[in-house]
Amino acid sequence: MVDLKAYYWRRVKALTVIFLIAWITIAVILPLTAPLLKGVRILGLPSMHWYMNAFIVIVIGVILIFVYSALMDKLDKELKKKVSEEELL
Amino acid sequence: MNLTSPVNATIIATICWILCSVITTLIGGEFLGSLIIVIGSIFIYLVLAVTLRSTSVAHFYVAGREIPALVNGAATAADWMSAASYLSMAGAIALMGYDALPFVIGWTLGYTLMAFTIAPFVRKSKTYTVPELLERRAGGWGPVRTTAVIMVFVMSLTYLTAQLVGVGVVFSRFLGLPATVSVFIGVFGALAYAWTSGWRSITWVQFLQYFVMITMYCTPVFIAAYFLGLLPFPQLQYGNLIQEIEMREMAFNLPLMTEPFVRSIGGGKGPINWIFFALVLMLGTMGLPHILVRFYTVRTVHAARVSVGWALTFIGLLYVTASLYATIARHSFSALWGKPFAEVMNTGWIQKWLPTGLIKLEDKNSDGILQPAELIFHGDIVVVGMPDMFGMLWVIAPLVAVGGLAAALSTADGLLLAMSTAVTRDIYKRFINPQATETREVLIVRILLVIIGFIGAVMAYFALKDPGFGVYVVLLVGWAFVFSASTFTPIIMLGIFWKRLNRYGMIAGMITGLLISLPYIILVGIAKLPPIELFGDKIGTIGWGIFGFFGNAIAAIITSLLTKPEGPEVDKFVESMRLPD
Repeated sequence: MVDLKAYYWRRVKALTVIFLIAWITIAVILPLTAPLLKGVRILGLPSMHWYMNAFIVIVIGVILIFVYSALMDKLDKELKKKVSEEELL
Repeated sequence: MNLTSPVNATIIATICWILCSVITTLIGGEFLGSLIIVIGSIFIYLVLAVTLRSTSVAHFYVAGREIPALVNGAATAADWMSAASYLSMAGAIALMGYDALPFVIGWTLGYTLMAFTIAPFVRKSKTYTVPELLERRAGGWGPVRTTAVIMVFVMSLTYLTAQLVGVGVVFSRFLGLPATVSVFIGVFGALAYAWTSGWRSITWVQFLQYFVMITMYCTPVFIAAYFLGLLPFPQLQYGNLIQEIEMREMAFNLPLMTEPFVRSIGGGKGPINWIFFALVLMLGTMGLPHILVRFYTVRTVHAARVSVGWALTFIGLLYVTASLYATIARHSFSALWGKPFAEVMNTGWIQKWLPTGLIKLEDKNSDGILQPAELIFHGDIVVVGMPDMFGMLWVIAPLVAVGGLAAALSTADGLLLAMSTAVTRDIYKRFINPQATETREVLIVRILLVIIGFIGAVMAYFALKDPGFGVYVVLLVGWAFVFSASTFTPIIMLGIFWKRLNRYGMIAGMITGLLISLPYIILVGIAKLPPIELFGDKIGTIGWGIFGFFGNAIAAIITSLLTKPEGPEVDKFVESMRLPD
C-alpha cells in the first residue's frame, strides 16, 4: 500500500513537471518570442505576433487543463484498480 | 408545476421582467424602459437566490460541496470577471494595443497553472477556507490563520470597492444616474444574494450571471461584425480590419497598434516589464481568496480539475472577444482621422457621447481637419459606445448595461462572502467562540455581510466623489495581485509539493514577500520615485511583484530548513491532499 502511494505520487510529480514546462512555454516563451512572427498571416487571421497573445495561447491553456484532468483520471483509476487487486491478495 | 423550484421561479421572474420592460417602454418611453431593464435584472437574481435559501453552515461556506463541474466553472468565470474586465479591458487594448495584451494572457493563463498545482489539492484538503488550510498545514498554529485572514482582507476589500465603483459607473454611463447613489443599489443586490444561503445561492446566481454577461458582451460586437462582414466567426476573421487600421496609422505616422513594447504598462516599459506584468497577474490569480474558495464547492477532486477547464473556457470566451472589440472600436475611430471637423461633429455617435466627456475633440492646429491627436477617447467608450457607433436599436445599450452590472455584482458577491466567512470561521469560531452553534454561525456571517458591504459601499462612495482617491482604488486592484502573488501563492504551492515546509517558513515567506513588494509600491507607485531598470527596461510596480513571489519562496525554504520539521501529523495531512478519494 505504501509503495502504491509512493508510486502514485511519483507519477503525479512527473506529470506536474511536464505540465509546468508546457505552462512556461505558453505563458513565457511563446508570448516573448511572438514579436518574431510579425507579418506572418494565415487566412483571415491577424498577424501571428498579435494573435498568439490575443487568442492562441489561451486556447492552448484551456486544452492543457482538460488533458491534465483526463490523464489524472486515468492515473486515479489505475491506482484504484491496483489497490483493489492488492486487497484481494 | 412547482412555482418555488429555482428553475421555474427564475423563468417566471424573467417573463415578468420582459413584460414590465415592454409595458414601461410603451407607456414611459425609452429612458424609463432602460431603467426597468437594468434594475429588473437585479430582481431576477434575487428571486433565484431566495428559492435557494438555507441556514446550513456547509451551504454557507462551501455550497454543500455539491456543485457540478460545469456550473462551478461558469460561476468561477463570473466571480473572476469584474466590472473592469467587462467595461475597461477592451478599451485598454484599443488605447495601448500590443502593450495591453499582458491583461489578456495574465488574467487567463494563471488558471492553467492553478489546475495542476493548486485546485485539486485545495479540494482534497477538506477544509472550508484558505486561512484554515494554511493553519492545518502549519500544524494547527493560530498566528498563520490570523495573518491569512488579514491578507484576505487586504486583497478583497480594495477589490470590492472597485466592483462597487464599477456598479456606479455602469449606472452613470448607461442611464445618466448619479454614480454615488447607484453604489448603494449595487451593494444591496450583492448583499441579498449572499444573505440567502452564502456560497450556495451566489454560485447559482453567478452561474446565471455568467451567461447574462457573456451574451450581453457579445451582442453588440457581433452586430458590429455583421455590418463589417465578419460573420460567422469574427474572432477568427478580423485580420483585414487590423490591416486597415495599420494603414491609417502609417498614413499619420503613428506607432502601430500591433507594434510590441512601445508604450508603457503598469509604470514600466519594454519586454521584461511586459512579461513580468503578465506573470504577476497569473501568479496573483492563483492566490485570490474568492477564486480559491471556488474549488471547495465542487463534488469531487475530479470535478475540481475539470471545473478549472470550464472556468478558463468561459473566461477565455470574453477575453478573446475583448481584442475584437478593441479592433472594431479603433477601426471606427481611425475612420474619422483626416476628415473635416464639421463632418466629424455631425457623426451621430460623436454627438451623443461628446457631452459625457468620454470623447474629446479639439482642433489644435485650427486646420479644420481632424488629426489623430485631436481626438481623445476614454477606454470605456469602446464597450458602452459600440451600439451607437453602428446605430443599433436603443435596447442594445441597456442590455449591455445589464451585462456590466452582472459582472460587477457577481464579483462583489464572491469578495463579500470570502471576507465574511473568513471572519466567522477563522476568527469567531476559531478563537472567540469555538462552541458556536450552526444558527449562530450563519447569523454572524449575515451580520458581517451587511457590515462589510456597508464599508465597501462607503469607500466606493468616496472613490466616486473624489477622483484623486478613485485613482488609488484602480491602482490598488492591480496591487492586490502583487500582494496575492507575493504572499499566498508560493506558500500554498510549496505546502502541497514540499512536506518540509513548516510554520516558520510560511510566516517568513509571507513577510519577506510583502517586504519586497510593498516598499516598491509605496516608493515608486505612490511617492513617484523613478522605477528600477533591468537591462534597460523600466520595471513597474506590478511587474516588480515577481521578485516578491520568488523572495517569498526562497525565504520560506531557507527558514524551514533551519528550523525543525512539523512532524507526522502535518505529513499525514499533506499526504491526504495528494491522494485521490
